[in-house]
Amino acid sequence: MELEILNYRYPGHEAPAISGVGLTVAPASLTLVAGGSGSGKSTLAGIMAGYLPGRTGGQLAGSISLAGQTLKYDGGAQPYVVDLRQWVRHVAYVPQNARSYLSMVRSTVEEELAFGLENVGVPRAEMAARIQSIAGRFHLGPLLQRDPARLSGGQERLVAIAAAAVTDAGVLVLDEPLAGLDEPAAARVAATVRGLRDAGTAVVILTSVLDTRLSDAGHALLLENGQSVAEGMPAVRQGAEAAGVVVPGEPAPAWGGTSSRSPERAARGATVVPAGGGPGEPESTGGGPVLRYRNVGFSYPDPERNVRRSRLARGRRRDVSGGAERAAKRRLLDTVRFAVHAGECVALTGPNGTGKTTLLKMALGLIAPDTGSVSVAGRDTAEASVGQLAKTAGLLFQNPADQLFERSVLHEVSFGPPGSRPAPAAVRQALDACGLTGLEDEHPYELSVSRRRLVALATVLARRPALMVLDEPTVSLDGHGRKLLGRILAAATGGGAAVLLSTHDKEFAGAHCQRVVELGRQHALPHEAAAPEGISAPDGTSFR
Amino acid sequence: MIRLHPFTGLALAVAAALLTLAADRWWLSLAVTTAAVCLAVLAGTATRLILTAGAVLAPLWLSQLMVHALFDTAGSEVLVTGGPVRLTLEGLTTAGGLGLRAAAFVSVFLLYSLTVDRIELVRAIDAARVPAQLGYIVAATLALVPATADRARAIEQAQAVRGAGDGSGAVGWLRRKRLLAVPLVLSSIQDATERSVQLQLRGFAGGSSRTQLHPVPARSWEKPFGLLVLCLAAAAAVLLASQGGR
Amino acid sequence: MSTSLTLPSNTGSTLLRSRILPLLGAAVIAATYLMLVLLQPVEAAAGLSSWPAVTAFAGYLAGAILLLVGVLPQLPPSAVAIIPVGLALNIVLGQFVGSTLVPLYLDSIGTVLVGLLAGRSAGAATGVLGSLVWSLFNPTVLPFAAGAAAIGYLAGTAGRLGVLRRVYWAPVAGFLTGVVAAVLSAPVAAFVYGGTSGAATGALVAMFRAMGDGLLASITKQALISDPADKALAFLVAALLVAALPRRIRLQFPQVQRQASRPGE
Repeated sequence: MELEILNYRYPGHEAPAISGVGLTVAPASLTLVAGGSGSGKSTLAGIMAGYLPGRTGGQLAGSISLAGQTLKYDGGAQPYVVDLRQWVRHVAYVPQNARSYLSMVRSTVEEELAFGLENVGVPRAEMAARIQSIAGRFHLGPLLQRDPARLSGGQERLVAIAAAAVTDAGVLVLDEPLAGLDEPAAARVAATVRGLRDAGTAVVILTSVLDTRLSDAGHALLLENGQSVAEGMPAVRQGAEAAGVVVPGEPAPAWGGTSSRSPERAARGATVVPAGGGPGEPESTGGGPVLRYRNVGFSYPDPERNVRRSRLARGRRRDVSGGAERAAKRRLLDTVRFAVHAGECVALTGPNGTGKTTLLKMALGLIAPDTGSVSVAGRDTAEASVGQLAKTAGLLFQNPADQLFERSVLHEVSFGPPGSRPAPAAVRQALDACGLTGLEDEHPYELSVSRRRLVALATVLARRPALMVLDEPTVSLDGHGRKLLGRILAAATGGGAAVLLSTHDKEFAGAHCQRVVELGRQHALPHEAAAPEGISAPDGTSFR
Repeated sequence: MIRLHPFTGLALAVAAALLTLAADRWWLSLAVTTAAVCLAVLAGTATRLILTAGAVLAPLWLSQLMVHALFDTAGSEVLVTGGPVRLTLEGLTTAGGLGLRAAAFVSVFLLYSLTVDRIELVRAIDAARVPAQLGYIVAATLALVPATADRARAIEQAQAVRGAGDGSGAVGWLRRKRLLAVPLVLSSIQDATERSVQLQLRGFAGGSSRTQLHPVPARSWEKPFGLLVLCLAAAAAVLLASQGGR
Repeated sequence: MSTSLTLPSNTGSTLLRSRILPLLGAAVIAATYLMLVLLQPVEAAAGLSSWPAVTAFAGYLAGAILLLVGVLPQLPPSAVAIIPVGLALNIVLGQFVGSTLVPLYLDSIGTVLVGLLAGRSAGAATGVLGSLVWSLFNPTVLPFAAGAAAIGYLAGTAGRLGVLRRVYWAPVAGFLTGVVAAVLSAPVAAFVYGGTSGAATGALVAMFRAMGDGLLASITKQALISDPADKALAFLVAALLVAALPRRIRLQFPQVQRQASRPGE
């Protein structure tokens, strides 16, 4: 496949979304396209996948060669419309949001994998053979009979990539394949991708993080503002940070010179909460505890009840394997105890499915612990209403779509119930801190994923909570966003607020948090994300 | 019980419903209802059948009673009078007949929908010679309803955290509903637009040459049998209806 | 490589059946209604004869299904993907209201939403599919499929006429739609069930009958009282929800695209 894009314009936009980008994809190669949020990665992916410009009204100038044919676009308003039924035989594209790639209408993973094959009319026997072979290569054997709607984030990503690979397309385009995955899941996806390349597939990876696991890419490209600013791995690595790409290995210089909190220091402060007895209270660092967990225990509610509640799903839930039922009944949290003090930033880490989100939601009284207690500013969450707790504490959800509802960024951030609207000055400040100045009149949904997350963060900031609880704040933030987040955390703790955040990013935790609380692996539900944790889908598709 | 192809069951249910509707005899309606309940007992879903049917039928029966019996002006055999109420035997008979007919129809279809394997039903629709979109929409709706309800709960939590949970009276109620409905619709539609692209990228809706990994097994007699039952029921219905029922 | 990767620039003529089947479906529905109204069955003292029940049931259902089968293949993927969302919203948003004491159903917000966004065909299909899927839980809605199709179709028409540009037109369009739906659905309530779906509406019908109206007339009158208000509200809510959508999403739907490209008033 060969691309030469002179420029591409979305309908109604004067400025091109990408211009002057050339890319040659050879068989059995790994190509890395790096770029921050809004750099034109998704547009490039759309063109490669064949659905842009299509009938969307976009204007493309340039040429695309695929499978011996060349399409020349002249930039006019009546471009060729790609016949996707033919195109998908050559190019498969897995979006960042793997869940939206899964059709949702198949009851088992096996049939989900078959969905694309069924549509192009592959005979049954061949279909079964291909699925067997791909399941073998991806080690999906135990998942084949599971319900695709009940996979964990990592499994979902793997299944989506498998569903793309099973079509035998020569070019595989993957958007952010590692985002939001915990360590083992990310390693598994990376290994699989490498395996595909070695088997002859041309793999193109679009990413905003220069992950070390993908550093053996043969070809690399750095995008900024829709233009290619660097080519080749060394050049990309050099220019990455300026372009808003996260480069692990060198902690972002977040707060002017105060990067004294090195990972080692954080590691020393790490508190592992294992299965049985919890660790002692960490030494107080001055200031009273704003948030305190006392011997908190929690198990998932009886799954029977869930089944009854959603009678409509009866037909599908039947497929839930016994393993899931058993796992769901297991204890998720056991005698967890720690405290977060004013002026302190604490990171909560641990593999997917260890109850991080559950623990965070307890701070706002959204979930009540089975045993033990949670108190916020000395007040037991069991005795206060969510509304009362919300006056002291703010929570950033994993999924910004749940939080945003206004028509403009400004309305969104200044929203509040009558009587306790955030002050205009606080709103201004929050917008500034989140780098949203100048975007006040935009609709939150028109912004890039990274910015949308920042809008949600600004809504929390504008209320000036004494306690900020942030669920996976780094996910879907690009390099620029992370720096802003680092500064916000420093300013908040400097101003005496307490911060508790969950993250998979040990490096970020090391650079910005004083202490790390690690939830014990013993509690992990190894193959099940039946509940809250799962993947941190960026725009609203992670059903919990 | 033997496992029928979803369409065979559907044909039987349609035939039974059509016959009771056309015949309009109280004893036939009663017999069909009883048979449906007995089959539900065999299938182990009797409680749910009765509960669901009751929820559907109770308001309908009440309405039928009021429309036909309670304020009847025509009937001669007056049972109870008082104020505007004039309960007659004729009215009660009409209401009873209509009520039983509705009961037969409801219980037959509910029996079908409670016993059919929904996954098999979707597979059967996919395999049938109908547009591929039909199977997709039915399956996606069945999956989306609980997912949307879950999402509504998640949004409710998020709004409560932003202090949007309280507010009393009509204004507060409206505000709360708006804060729930807008993000719900926004994110659902955003999802759908994303998925529409992905569906195309997976070759949906394919052509007439679609294949299926796991076709629903159908015994050789099932298709002709189902068609025969339907044709017989239709013929009987036309015959019964043209004779004027009773 | 012989197969071309691109589609011809103009899509050419649409399939014959995708034009004829919906028309046929609409004709069957119209014929059923006319037959029931013109040959209005006489009420015998002992009750109704059964042919109107069979006709109303079979005619409406068959018409709606013909409409559906004809319309489905020509729907663009964006419409196909949004229909399940509309159906789920019908149920979930309906429950919001259902859990309170407001005497409205508002079970068609999703259908109206799809009609406004994705056009008449998609709206009509949503109406029919909603009845089919919902009949798995409440079989009595099955013969109302024709009325639901009309609601979706009219919502699409309203969207095409530009209701979205002036939100205050939405309740007006909804009111008119409610009138059509009420008239169309009355024969089902009258002849198939001989009653309505609730006690309050039943009392209204009983009142009209006591005043000397026939069954169909009473039920039509009752429906004309409750349906237009319900649909006016549903249209208003749906139009407000569409207005809250960002441009980027709205522009993905052909109907809205057409609106946007037309020189504004």
